[in-house]
Order: sequence, then C-alpha cells, then structure tokens
Amino acid sequence: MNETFDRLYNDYHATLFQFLFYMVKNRAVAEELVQEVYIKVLRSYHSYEERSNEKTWLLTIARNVAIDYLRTHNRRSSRWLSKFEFNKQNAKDATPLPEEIVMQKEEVQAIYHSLKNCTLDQQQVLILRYIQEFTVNETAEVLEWSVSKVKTTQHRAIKALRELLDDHTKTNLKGVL
Amino acid sequence: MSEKTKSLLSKLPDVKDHQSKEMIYQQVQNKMKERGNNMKKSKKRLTWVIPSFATGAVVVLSLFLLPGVFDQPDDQSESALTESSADSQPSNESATTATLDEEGKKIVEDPIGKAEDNNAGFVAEEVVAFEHYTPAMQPGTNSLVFSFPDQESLALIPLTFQVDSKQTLPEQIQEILSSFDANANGFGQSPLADASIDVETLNGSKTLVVDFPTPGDSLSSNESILVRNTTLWLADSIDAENINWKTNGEDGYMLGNFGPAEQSIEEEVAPYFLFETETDSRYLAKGSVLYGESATDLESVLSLMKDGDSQNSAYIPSIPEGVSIDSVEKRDDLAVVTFTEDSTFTSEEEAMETLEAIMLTAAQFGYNKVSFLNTGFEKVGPYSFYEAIEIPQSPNAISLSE
Repeated sequence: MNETFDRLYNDYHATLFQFLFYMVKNRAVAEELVQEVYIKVLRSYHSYEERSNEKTWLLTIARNVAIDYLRTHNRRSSRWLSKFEFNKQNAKDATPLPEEIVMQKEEVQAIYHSLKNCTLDQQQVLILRYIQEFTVNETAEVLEWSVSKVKTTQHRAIKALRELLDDHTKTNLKGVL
Repeated sequence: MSEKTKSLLSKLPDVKDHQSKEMIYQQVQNKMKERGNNMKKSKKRLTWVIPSFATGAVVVLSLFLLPGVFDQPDDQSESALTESSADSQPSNESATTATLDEEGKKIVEDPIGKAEDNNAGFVAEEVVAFEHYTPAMQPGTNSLVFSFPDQESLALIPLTFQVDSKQTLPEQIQEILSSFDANANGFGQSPLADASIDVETLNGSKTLVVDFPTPGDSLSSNESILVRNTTLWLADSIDAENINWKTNGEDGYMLGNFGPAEQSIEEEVAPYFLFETETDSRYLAKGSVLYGESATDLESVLSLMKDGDSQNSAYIPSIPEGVSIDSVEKRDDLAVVTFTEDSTFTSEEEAMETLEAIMLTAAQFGYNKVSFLNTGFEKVGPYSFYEAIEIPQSPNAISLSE
C-alpha cells in the first residue's frame, strides 16, 4: 500500500469522511466522494506546499469535491420539485438515515434535518466549526474565506438553524395536537 | 438558545465509512490506473499523429499563403510576417475555422490585396488561426457541439464541429468520431463514444435520443457529469427540446449516484474559462454550473471568470490579470462591457479569448449582442469595436473538411 495513502488515511480519514457525509448527507455518496478526494490528493501531493496545514489542505479538496457534487445534485432536485409542485409539500428525503443518526435522541435528529435546510455556506461553517470542532482560522483556511466572513456566516448560520429548529418543533407539535 | 443549538450540533454522531482501508485503496488504485492508461495510450499515438497532422496543415496553409506571396512583390515585410505566422501555426490549426487577424486587416488596407478581395472575396473567408487559441463558431453555420474531456477527465471541452446539413445526425456524429483525432489534440475519449445517437422530430419539436450499450449505475459522479453535460450541450446545439435517455434500447438511463437522467433541457448559467491541453492548444470551457445569487447577473459571473474556478484548477481565468471590467450595462438585448482605462491585453490572441468568453457567457443571460469599450484595439479577429458585435454561435470551432 502506498505510504502516503496509508499515513493520510490513518491521520485524516475519519475527519474527511465525516465532513463529506455531513455535506452530502448520504453515506453511499460520501463513500464514493472520499475515493475521489484520495485520487485528487495522491495526484497533487507532490505539489503540496508544506507552508499550509495538511489537514486544511485535505479538507479544502474534500469541500471542492462535495460542492461539485451538490451543485449538480441540488439543481436536479430543485428542478424536479418545481415541475411537480404538488409534490413539494409531501416531498420527503428518500435517503435512509444512517444508524448512527437513528439511534440519537429526537432533538439531535431534528438538528440533523434542520441542517439540510441551511444554505450551503452556512452548512459548511456549521459542520467544520461545531461538528468537527475546527477553529475559526482553520475553517477560514479550508473554505478559503477571510476570518471575518467565517464569523459572520457562523453567526447567521446559528440564528438560521435556531429558527429552523423552532419551525420543526412547531410542526411536530401540530401533528400531536 | 444559541448555546443549546451549538451543543446539539456537537452531539451529532461520528458516521463511519463502511469501506475498509484496503477496499478504498484498491478502488482508488483502479480508478487512477484506468485514467492513467487512457493518458499513456494517447501519448503513444501522439508521436505518430502529430507529424502527419502537421504535414497536412503545412500543405493546407501553403494553398492559402502562396497566392499572397506572389501578389505582393513590393512588400517584403508583409510577406515575411505571413511566413513567420505560418511557421507558428499549431498542429491542429487545420481544424479551426475562419477568423481574421491582423494579417487579414493589413491585406484589406493594401490596394493590391483589396483588388484581389473584390474579385474573389478572399479576405472575408480567409482561414487564419491563432497560435494557441481556437476561436468560436460564427452565427449561421451548420454545426453541433460535441464535447471531449481532457485526458485526465478533469475538464470537459465543448467543441463546435461544422457539419454537412445533408447528413443525418448519426452520420454527422460518425464523421466527427472518425475524423477528429481526440488524442492527437490532447483530449480523452468522448463520454458518448459508445452511445447510439439520433434525433426524433414530432410536430416540429426535436428530441435527442441517446442509447447507451451498458447501464450507467456504476458511473462515478465525475463520469456522470461528463456524460450528462456532453449530452445536454449536444441537445442544446441541435435545438432539441428533450432528451430520450435509453439503455440498450430500453427507456431510461441511470447517471450513477445522481439517479435517473432527466429528459428536459434546462437553461444553465456557467462561466466560461480557458483550458489548455497538453498540446498547448487553448479552448474555452464551461466551469461549474452556478445557481442562486451568483447566477443572477452577468457582472457577477464575469468576476468569477477573472478569479478562476475555485472548484477546478484545470480551468484558467478567461479574464487576464491585466484586464478589469469597469461596468456592464444592459440595453435590451445588448450588453455594454466597459474595461477599466488601465486594462491591457498582451496580444490580440489574449483579447480574442477574453472577448469570446464574455460574449458566450452573456448569451446565457439572453443577450444577443455585446459592445466592448476600452479594449485598446479597433478590431480583433472578425470583431470590429466600432459597433455592437453579434454573439458567436458556440465555442471552439472545428472544421473537419480542412
């Protein structure tokens, strides 16, 4: 086995997969995308400049791979929904929830579902900052943003997520009453 | 409340990859080997193809250049310019279609040349290629867009082929696949190379029919995008309104993890970038499709074209460093693009690349014409800056007949 792959896998695979999964919210897709990430990484590893942080460099590649996927996928989904408006209200994500999420409390599941409804920029910041516990500087490096943009997006993301969670709770209550 | 939201986020569990390390490594190796093999194969063939292609190009060019040399005995510098330009033509230039460059302009200003033009209409139809860049197809040409990826499948390049309108679509595609040597031009195999392609017309509405011999379930996301975009751009170029995707004669086609390919053709907005092949030829290529705020106006997309595609480093910014856009003004179907006073193009070729990239991007916003201000030129290629320019038909014009 390639030494570089072996080391990168041991050091960063869990982080990479975690990030990809929460970005695309589909285990099968994340499994395929992580392979694409390694292909890109192994191809360009010789040009990797050590002045940048290896972890954030890998995450930047993963982020680009995920966004590439989402751009096409999201457009397809939204187009289908706009064509069949009647489906919009009943539209449910057919992607099965991973067992790790199913086993969680309802409020954790609710936040997982609400996360999907944040903007892509907001989701990236929330995943990196709060699920993966990256620092603001690391997040800025991965996203190739300024630190202040990370802070502003983070603030708006938390606010948006809180509102989405409230909506989610109200909808569930209506169902009970 | 914010703290509770943050705390809930941190409780989201670690989701494990079900693939083992060995399994991933094997998959990665297989994919890299597969893509690497494609590259090696093409390089091997290149050594044989380039000399014959270059010889062909010299013969074709000689037919154009010799009459000019004989008719201009008093202007040694001009014929020398013509000759040196001929020397610098790339190996694939015989595949490019008509454009006018500075040489063309000089001939127009020369009374001897002018007399000859009036007799033969030679200047307007003269075939002159840029050293590296393949200009766009001008409006009113029978053509279709057939795309090829680079040899590592990192980029997809839409090539516009001039076609014979008397041929059927399958014949035209066959002609392209048999006459255009993708490898010699630095490209990989077309994603539609194995598909049967046809068109059906019902009540004046065209449907592109693409039938693949094998299912696409196992396509990677990258491969799925290549297949989808090649098909979509082809359908768009022949004015098809729908796509009938088939697998081995049966309706439907799975695009890997994207699911079933959809039949409708939607308008998309994507910035045009430059792509350079290993053979040093430059083409316009569409970057990642934009959605949301970044796709709402031409000015935003043009700013991306100066920055480059952050998602794909294979795409080079089509607006060079020394050039900035001051404003973009909308006047019905005309876009007025003003460059800043200090903008400088380093060559006509560079200007040609940028202007065509801007025009083709503007077309996606419904513009039919573009006026350029502060280009530093009166004319570049076939475009005069004294008037609004009609937007070219599609990028990267290739003529198979030359």
